[in-house]
Amino acid sequence: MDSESLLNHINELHKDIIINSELITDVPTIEVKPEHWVEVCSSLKKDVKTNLHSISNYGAVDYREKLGGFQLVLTIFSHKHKHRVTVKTLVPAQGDEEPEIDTVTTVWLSADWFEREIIELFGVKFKGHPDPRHLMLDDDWDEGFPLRRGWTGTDFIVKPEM
Amino acid sequence: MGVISKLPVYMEKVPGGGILTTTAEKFFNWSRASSLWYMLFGLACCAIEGLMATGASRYDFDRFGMMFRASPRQADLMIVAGTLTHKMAKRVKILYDQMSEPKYVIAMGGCANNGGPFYYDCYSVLKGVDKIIPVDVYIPGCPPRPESVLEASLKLQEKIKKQKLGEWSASTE
Repeated sequence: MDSESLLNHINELHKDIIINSELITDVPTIEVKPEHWVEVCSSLKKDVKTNLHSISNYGAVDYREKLGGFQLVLTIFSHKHKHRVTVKTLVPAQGDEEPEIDTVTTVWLSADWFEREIIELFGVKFKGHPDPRHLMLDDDWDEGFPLRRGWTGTDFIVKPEM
Repeated sequence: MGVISKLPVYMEKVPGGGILTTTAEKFFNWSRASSLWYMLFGLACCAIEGLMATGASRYDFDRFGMMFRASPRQADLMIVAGTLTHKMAKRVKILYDQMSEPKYVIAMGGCANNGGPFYYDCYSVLKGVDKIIPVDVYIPGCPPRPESVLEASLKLQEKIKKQKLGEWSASTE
């Protein structure tokens, strides 16, 4: 299946759920609402034609000022069909809020460490995560979420304008 | 014949050998400087240059009496080779405290000196290893050549040979 027919197939599969869908550098990219996040993910894994069984990449972007929330970007890969799909969702958040969304570790267990990193660096909480400890940062880190825009901490030196 | 030419203050020849007379200070400094055992401990890419390449046969650290030890209890010298993150800084402090006196530290590369390429806009890297432990010799470079690590160890030996007896214990305070 080429990328376009894959995108059409996914669009048919979740007709009323997908907000936005496009091909980005030949990768089918879909955007869904946060309440359909786990539902879409698990059906993309279970569907025979997509069969997206493993996570390539899973991260977050701070779009609080631009779009009003944190965007989760999940790229998943099928070893059987050799194709990949990107799924995005926007978790609404304002200011210092720590928004919450359902975990996808129930779908792929390997999402565990990706979500732990998003928890500590962006402050997005995952409901039902099996082990929400810090991954990279020290256990007693208490200076907030360093990858949020405008974050500063002790020993943090902002690069002056050149 | 380094011992005979550098160490003695007075040498008396007896048949079949000789008696060397020297000061305790000179003797201790000479033996400390000549067998600096460094800790086998690397943090980042500098460890490949500073510990592995320099320690291997091409650059041959051994000829200055530098041998790696896998335990801080047996080490005299800590070469902080690489980027020191805040998380690792606590562990480095513990390792430094576990080393027995007299102990010396070489900060190797830009990251260990002052944060290097991670100085600006970085939340995770400590800006210089001298914020947690005292440093004797700094080596610039990213990463430094093995020759500069050898040069640094010679500089450290010079420093050790100049120290007074009991002086090193003041560094722990």
